[in-house]
Formats: sequence, structure tokens, C-alpha cells
Amino acid sequence: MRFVDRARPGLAMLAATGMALAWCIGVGAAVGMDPMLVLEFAAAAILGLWTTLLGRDLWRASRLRDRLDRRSTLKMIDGVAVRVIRGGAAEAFVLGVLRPTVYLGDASLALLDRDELAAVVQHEEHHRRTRAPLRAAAVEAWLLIVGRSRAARRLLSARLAELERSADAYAMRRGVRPASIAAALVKVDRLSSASPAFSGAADHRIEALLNAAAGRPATRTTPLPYEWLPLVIALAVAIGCHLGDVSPLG
Amino acid sequence: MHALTCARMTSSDARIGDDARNTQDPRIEGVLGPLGAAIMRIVWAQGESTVRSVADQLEQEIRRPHAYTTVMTILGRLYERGLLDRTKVGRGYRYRPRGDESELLASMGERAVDQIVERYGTAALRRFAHHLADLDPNLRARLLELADQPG
Repeated sequence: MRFVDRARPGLAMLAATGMALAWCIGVGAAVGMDPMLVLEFAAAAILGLWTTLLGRDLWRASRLRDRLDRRSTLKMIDGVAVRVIRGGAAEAFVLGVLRPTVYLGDASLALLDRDELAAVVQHEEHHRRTRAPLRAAAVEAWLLIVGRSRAARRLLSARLAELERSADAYAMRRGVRPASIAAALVKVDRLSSASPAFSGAADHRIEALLNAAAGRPATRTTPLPYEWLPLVIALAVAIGCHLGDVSPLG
Repeated sequence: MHALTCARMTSSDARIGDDARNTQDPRIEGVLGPLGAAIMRIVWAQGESTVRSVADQLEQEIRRPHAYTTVMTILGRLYERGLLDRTKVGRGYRYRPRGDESELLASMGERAVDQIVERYGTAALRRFAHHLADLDPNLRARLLELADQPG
């Protein structure tokens, strides 16, 4: 697991492609049948399920966005375009796929001081720029499919934690103090009804924040884009096997 | 009967009411409507209210009488929305606010937005706050310590 946690995406994808080729060449030669058949059916079924779950989430996000846009107004806060929800609680989130938008409940404006507000807004701005809602939806669709596996759950929740860590790091690069992020987190959490984070995801984020506050260098992580990796592997398998068909070995 | 049981506002009560109105938050109107907000503010100022005490105060404040039954209906709705407590006194009720103005705003806003978010529950949404109650206790303590650091 530590290997996967620290691996570089390029290496892992190369390994996946190599395994796919080995499967095609090995099984194709040994059994004398099309090795693609089982793999293709299995991959298509899993990817179909994942796409359905992802599509459902994106549709819901679009409906939610329509509803929230009707009760919110656009404001510039700390140089970031934010939609402030009238009668909204102390909530802050990013929503939307093609055009992600930062939303802030108007209670946040009364609850948070200027630095804390900047912390929240800059954190969410990073999510907006990196299209975190789409990535999170992709991860959570996988969690629904393979979340019973502890290893898969750990990998995927590490990815969700990484989204939050990188957003905090972005806010700090924009001049926000770790203490302001911590204060905003504590205040917003008291009034928010945010659902529980996946086990350990919040811990990783807070550890990173405490390290930054203590001046310790951040642990360099290059997490795999797990949300897209299965797609890449499926493509690699398909391409690898078809190449096998035309190769002298196939 | 209500007129007999209601507590008349004293001048200090009225001052409390004035103070409350000076710091009033216009978002209350958005949540409760103009009359609902005015009535809620009167109940906050009076602490304990009856339909008659609210109707009298309302008439003093906005110089326009409202029917006793209108005030009674709105107080009943505020009770049904969980904003007021009430106890039976004779043939009527005595109302008390369940929280102050800031608590109402927080809870109403949270409820309204949460209801929408719940209805369209989606994973394609990144919230700022995590559920910190699930944090490792040691981490939580260190986070609170960091949050208390002066700016």
C-alpha cells in the first residue's frame, strides 16, 4: 500500500498497461481463445455502473445549482467570485461540473472574520479551479462500487483528503495563515451539518494543516488520479489486446 | 380572557424592544415575512407573550391594527415551525421564543439550504467543513489550539 501511496502516476499506469499486455499475450497463447471477451464484458459492466452513478450525481448537482442560483447573489470576496446564499447557514462549498461555482451561506459573513473568510474563499477557489466537484463525484462513485474493500476505500479516501489538502495549501500560498483556516473550520463545523468525512480523510487534512502551522515541510505526495485510473486501465487493456491481435505473438 | 392574563409591557420592556429593533437583522423578514418577523421580534422583546400582548404592541409599533385572529394565526404558525414554545393558560396560550435572533437565522438558514442540498444530494459538491467530531481526539485538541492563536 505504501508503494501505491507514493508511486508516481506514470509508473503505475505503465505497470497497468504492462499487465494488460501480459494478460492478452499469456492467456491468448495458452487458452487459444479471445482473452478480450471476459475482460471487456467485466470492464464494460463496471464502467457502465460507474458512469451511471457519476451521471446521477452530476444531474443532481445541476438541479441543485439551479435551485441555489435562484436564492443567491454574486459577490466578490477576497478577489473571488462567490454566490452568497440568502438565508444560508455557515456553509461554504463548490458545486458544478462545467462551470464550478463557490457558494457561501450568508451566515458565514456574520460568523467569520476577514482572515477566516479569506481562508474559506481561497480554499474553495482552488476546488473551483481544479474542478474538484467532478473529481470528487468520480471518486465517490468508485467508493459506492468498490468501497467494501478496505484497500480501495483507503486509496479513494486518500484521494478525497488530497483534494482538501491541496486546497488548504493553495489558500496558504495566497497568504492565508494556517490558524485562520483552523479557526474557520472550527466555527463552520459548529454550525454546519456537513456529513461525516470518509474515515481518516479529515485526519489527513488536519495533520497537514498542523504541520504547515509548525513550519514543517509538507509531506510530498503525488497521489494517483484514482478516479480516472480504472478508465485508463480499461483503455490500456483494450488497446493492448487489440495490438495483440495484429502482432505476430497474438 | 387573554387581555386579563397578558403581561403589559413596561417602559423598560419597550426599551428592550427598541434595542432589539436597532440591531435587527433584515434577513428575518426574508425568512418569516414582514408580519411574522415583526411578531417574532415582539416575542423576543417580551420574553413571554400572549396573542393580546403581541397585538397591542404591534398596534403601537406600526400604528395599524391587526385582527386578533391574524396575530393568533401567525403565532400558531411560528409555533408549528418550531420557533416558539407555548403553554396553555386558560383558554389561550402563553408563547416563549425557543432561541434568539442569531440562533433562528442559523437554524433557519441551515434548514433551508440543507433541505435543498439533501433533496438533490450529490457527491459533486465539496464542502469546506469536515465533520470534526469524527477527528482523532488529539488532532482535534491541536486544531482547537491552533484556531485560538491570535492573528
